Amino acid sequence: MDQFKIIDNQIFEILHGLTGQSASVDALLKALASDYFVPVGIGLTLFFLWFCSRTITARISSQKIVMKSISHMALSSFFVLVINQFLFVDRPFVNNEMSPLFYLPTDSSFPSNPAAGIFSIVIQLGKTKSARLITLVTILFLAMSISRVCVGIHYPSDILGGCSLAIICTPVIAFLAKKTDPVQNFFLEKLRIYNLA
Amino acid sequence: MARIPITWIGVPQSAYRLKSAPQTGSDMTFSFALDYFICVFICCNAVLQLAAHSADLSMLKIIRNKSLNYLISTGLIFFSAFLFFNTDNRIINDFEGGLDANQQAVIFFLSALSSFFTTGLTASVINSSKHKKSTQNIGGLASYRNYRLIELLNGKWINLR
Repeated sequence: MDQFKIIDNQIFEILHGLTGQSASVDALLKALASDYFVPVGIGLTLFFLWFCSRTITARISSQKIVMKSISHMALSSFFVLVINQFLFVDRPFVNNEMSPLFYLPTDSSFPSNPAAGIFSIVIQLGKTKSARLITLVTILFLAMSISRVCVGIHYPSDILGGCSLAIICTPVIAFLAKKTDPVQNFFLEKLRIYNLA
Repeated sequence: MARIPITWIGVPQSAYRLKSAPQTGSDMTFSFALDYFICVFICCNAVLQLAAHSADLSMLKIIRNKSLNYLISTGLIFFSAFLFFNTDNRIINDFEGGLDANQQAVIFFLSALSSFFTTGLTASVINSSKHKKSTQNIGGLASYRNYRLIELLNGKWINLR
């Protein structure tokens, strides 16, 4: 366990060491790590997926993936909230003498809530047939995860914890999606009446 | 009955929290939310144009040329991101004037919905000479291949009456 913590800290120090070299790289890392850039990018991808299919079968499948993605993200975030009631891990700037590029978050570092949420969507979007969309969301996820470590607000283990949580939630979402399939069909049918699905 | 100060009505929770927070002392949250709404709105319009071309929803297309549409839409997405991050400090905590996840989700939904109707109505005006009246309406999003949003809304209104 101690060995794991040492490796975790070493990776953190290497990645955090990338900052402070160039103002433009720092600005880019800050934007990528922010609460807006990647979440909005992922949201836009889901928005695109809702409309982009040509056939009715493909459209229903895509729209169900959008609904599953949102549910998966919500469930992962809920589990992060539950875990944080019992476990509080300090942020890297608390344990190390460093000046993060970011604002100082007050919540627990482990597991990373953004990583859990975004990785949940990556998992669900993995079910689409579009390699371009999968690549795009994976790049967005990796960019956000790495930059959050670089700016000094997460350890790499926090990101891994968030990803693991998203993976654990996958069968739960698959089960719920199967059970609520008639409800999803009903919802989409109602939206179709108003030409929204 | 105690009189509620007018500033409380319609002010988002965090705006009130911000006003009560001594370290900020400005109405930054409302402006932040508005900036976020505008930038997401621009992005959603651009994404909707890309999706309209991808799904061949002719009556939602504002720019007919595929390459030009791709270029302008991608440009708009990058432009709005640049606009958002370069006009103010966006790296702030949600209790210091930023937006929390729930607020972001609500604003995103509202901008997406408004962008859909804005695109639909704009495309209705642009494509006013192109609609095909003889085609049967198959419902759902596929209706936008042959019908303009304004026609579909009109049809719904007549049915309601």
